[in-house]
Amino acid sequence: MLIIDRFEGKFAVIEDGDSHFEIERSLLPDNACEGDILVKNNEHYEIDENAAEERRKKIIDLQKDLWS
Amino acid sequence: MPKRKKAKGKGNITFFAVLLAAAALVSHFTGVFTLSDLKEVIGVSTSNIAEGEVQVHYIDVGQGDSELILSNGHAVLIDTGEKEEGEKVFSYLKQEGVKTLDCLILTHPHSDHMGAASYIVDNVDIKNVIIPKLPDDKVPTTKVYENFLKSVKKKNLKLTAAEPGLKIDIGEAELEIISPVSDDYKNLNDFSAAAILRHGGNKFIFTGDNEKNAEKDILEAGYLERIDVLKVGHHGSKSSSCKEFLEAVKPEYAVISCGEGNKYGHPDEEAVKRIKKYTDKIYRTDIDGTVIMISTKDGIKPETEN
Repeated sequence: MLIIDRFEGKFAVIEDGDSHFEIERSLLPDNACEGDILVKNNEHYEIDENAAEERRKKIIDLQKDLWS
Repeated sequence: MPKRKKAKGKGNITFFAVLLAAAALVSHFTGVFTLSDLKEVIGVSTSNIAEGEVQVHYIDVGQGDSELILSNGHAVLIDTGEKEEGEKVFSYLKQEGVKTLDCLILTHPHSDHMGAASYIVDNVDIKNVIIPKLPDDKVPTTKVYENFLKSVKKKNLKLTAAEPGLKIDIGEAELEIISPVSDDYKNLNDFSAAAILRHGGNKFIFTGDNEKNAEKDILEAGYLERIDVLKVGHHGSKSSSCKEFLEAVKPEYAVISCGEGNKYGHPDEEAVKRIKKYTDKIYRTDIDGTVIMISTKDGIKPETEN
């Protein structure tokens, strides 16, 4: 799964399983945000909104019982 | 233990009177949280620190951040660096004699700051974990964040929200969380939990990756004061260390944590120029390796690995 960890200047840092790599921010849609999940389509990246929403919900669920 | 070299002709800072520090503490006391909110930690850490001394280690974790605060019998780790740095940070804790961390503080959930958090939680005895509480729509979806939460759950630990006013007793020193002061930011960097460490008259600030917006908010909220050692925000990027922030903290020393030859251009030339207005005593982990600041009643003494 390709997940945007963060932006660093002109780069986006992408988490790819257990590692990460950088791509030029310009290769991503303008509205790309941290936490978005990407799907590679030829040389372009698209945002899979449903996948991110589903995953965020799962992580919020995991986190909610952990607050003191 | 890294081979430590003395500071390169860099003198000690002026030592502030205890009275002044006490006055500053009183003026910054917000009383939002007390230590009783945190688990009892007295006497559970072991570290090789002389009485009356506090050490801050800016561990060289390449392109990332990890700072270890050691006081007599106490240890706090701020950030862990990338996942690949987990074993290095773990070994570093071990070599410094740390058996228990009073607190693990993760300034914000980017992988260069908390990539190894899962590994550290799995392998180190930790009493408290402090992270910023993010709005739901900003909660990370990354695997490193999910793995960190799973490790916290597995160890039956709880998360304490980093909120301004939270004070952590670290033996002879006190660490006060000063941000995030708002939950209305677009970028996770600006949610960074910044903190001020006070030991006698010596003061350190840890900034995470706070950028200009958050720096100004922290300033406006009245949390900034004259600081001796600045952990430069966001690895020295141009979007941090704004002039208003620097004018408020007027650092005597600055430490930039960044990786050799990093492709993000950290530290940024303009940011370094802004810092140089206040100090030439700028240390960089990409050049100096691990940087250690030793705080005593006589002031601060820097040591470097390289």
